[in-house]
This record gives sequence, structure tokens and C-alpha cells, in this order.
Amino acid sequence: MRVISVRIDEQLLNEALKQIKAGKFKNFSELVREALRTYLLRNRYKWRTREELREYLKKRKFRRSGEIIDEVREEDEL
Amino acid sequence: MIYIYLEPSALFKAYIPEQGSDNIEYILSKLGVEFTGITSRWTLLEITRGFVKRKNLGELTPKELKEIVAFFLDDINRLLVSRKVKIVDVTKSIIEKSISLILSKNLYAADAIHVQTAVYSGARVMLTDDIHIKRLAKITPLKIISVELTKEEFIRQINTLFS
Repeated sequence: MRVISVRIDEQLLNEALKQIKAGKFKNFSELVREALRTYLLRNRYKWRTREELREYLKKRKFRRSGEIIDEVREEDEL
Repeated sequence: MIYIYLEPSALFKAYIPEQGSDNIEYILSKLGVEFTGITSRWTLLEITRGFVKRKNLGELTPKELKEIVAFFLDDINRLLVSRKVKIVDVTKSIIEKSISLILSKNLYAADAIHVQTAVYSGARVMLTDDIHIKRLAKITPLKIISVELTKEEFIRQINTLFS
């Protein structure tokens, strides 16, 4: 991994440190990596989150996931 | 940290709106703080094949299939690199233990792999749907919780892990 330096304002830093103190991230680097991944993921698809994906699909009828998974397992039996 | 095994029938619901989606989302939102999620690498194949079956059934368009599978794999990778989820490889040891289980309990190969992966990785609980809880509860010492319970009952059962 590469080391980079960035400038951020005091308020943003304090908010980030609160998240780390609350145990959501082990350190500042982990928080920044997670924030970057989330940002990049959100701009790659129509849906930014799993919730948004489910919302996009919610008007359709779907078979239960358990039934679909069992059919996948039955295929393996053939 | 409590390890929770994410069986495909439960994890799939995080990407499709249906009964149990809210409960699996509740757990995924807690990962890294109170819980670490665990699943087999085989889960990625089963859920991907599940999405393809949904396309074959007309539930998803071919374009949506491509986008949703890419989103699913990216989302799992994000959970993996942020250490919220561990993906356990299907090793020789897991295969050998699964063979014993298939012979003694007449299980699907995938059921056996998931049970043995959960046990091997030290999971305290396995999340499934109602269909799989009936089958798997008979053959594993692990606590199994269905994500299709009511939200209140699901959270109550999850909270018992801390007592």
C-alpha cells in the first residue's frame, strides 16, 4: 500500500475521530479506505447501496431466495 | 467478536426484496462492530448462479443480471477488505469433513460444505431462511436462526448470543 498525505479541515477530522472512537474503524487509514471504496462503488452502479437495489426491484415478484438456492443445489446433484 | 455464518439463502436476501431482507440488512449493518460475518467462497458461486436463474425465470433482464452480479461481488469485496466479512476457502480439510457429513446425513454437497465451514471457522450462529433451518438444524450443533422471523423475534434471538 502507498502512503499519501491529504489536507482536511478540523471539523471533518473531529467527526472522523468520533467514528474511530466509537469502534467503527480501527484507525484513520481504515476509515479513509472504507470511505473511498464506498464513494467509488456508489458511482459505479445505478444503486448506491443494497437498500437502493432492493428499492429498485421492489415492485416485482420474486421467488424466495431459499427456493432458488435449493434449485442451484439440485442442479449440482444432476 | 461473535462470528456469524451467512448461509446463501440468508445472504441472497440482502440483494432481493423479500421477507427477511430487513433482518439480513440489520446484521450486515452491525458487521465489524459487534459481529464478523463468515461465509464460504462457495456462497459467491451459489448466489451468482441464483441471479442467473432469476434472469432465466424472467425476474431480471440480461442487462440487470450483469449489473447486479457485479454490484454483489463488489459489495462482498468491500465487506471483505473492510474486515466485516471473512470468506473461507473450500479447503481439502473442509471437503473431507463434508464427505463424512454427506455419507452420514444424506446432505446436498453444498449444505455439507456450509455446515463444515461454519464449524471450522468458529461461527457461533448460522443465518438461513425458513426452508434451510429445518434441514440444517438437525445436523449441526450450531445455533441456527432464520432471517424470516419477525424483526422483534430476530433481534431477540441475536441478542441471546451476548448472554
